Amino acid sequence: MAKTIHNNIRTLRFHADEMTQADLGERVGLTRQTIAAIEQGKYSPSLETAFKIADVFGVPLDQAFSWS
Amino acid sequence: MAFHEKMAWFTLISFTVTYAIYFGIAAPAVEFGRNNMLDIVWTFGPVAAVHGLISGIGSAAIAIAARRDARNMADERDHAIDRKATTVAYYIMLTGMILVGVAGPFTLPPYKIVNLSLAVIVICQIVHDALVIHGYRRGSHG
Repeated sequence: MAKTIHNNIRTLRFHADEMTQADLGERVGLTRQTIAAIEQGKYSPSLETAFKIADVFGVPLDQAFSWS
Repeated sequence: MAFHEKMAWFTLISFTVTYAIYFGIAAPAVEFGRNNMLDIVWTFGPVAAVHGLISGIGSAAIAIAARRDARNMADERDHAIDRKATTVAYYIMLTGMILVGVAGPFTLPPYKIVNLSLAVIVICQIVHDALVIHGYRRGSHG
């Protein structure tokens, strides 16, 4: 079975005082719709954006994104 | 719905409707008339003007209705989706223009070459917008 990128952004937002998609988007330079698309697995962000997202939550990249 | 997806829907619908009218009614009327090049200008001119007006008003209305989204600059997802759609549309444009511009002059009268060139441009725009919408709805990676 082909591997795909998964993410824990929804969970990380929940643990960050229910940070909104718009807030996260603003902090990493994306629109709210793009954050929603990433959470739903409809868009795989660039490596730079993936690092930025992980950095916002203060976690290593592999806690925000996984390849399985 | 993302602002750029709304704009793609609007452009797709306005292009399809406007040029369906042109190629369905106006262009054949020219071809079966005097077949004068100036007739094409008088036929295409009003259609293009109406389309421009509709595009301007529609774009402004969408931007006002989605004020917050419209202020957001296109992000990397918007660029990625647009890049893929533009690449496909470019090759359609290239193929269409080679056929019309290279093969056309040997067999077709000028007014048909003009209309076929317009048709290629319209098809490219429609394919581009359809692929942009597909990218937003079905997902885009990379």
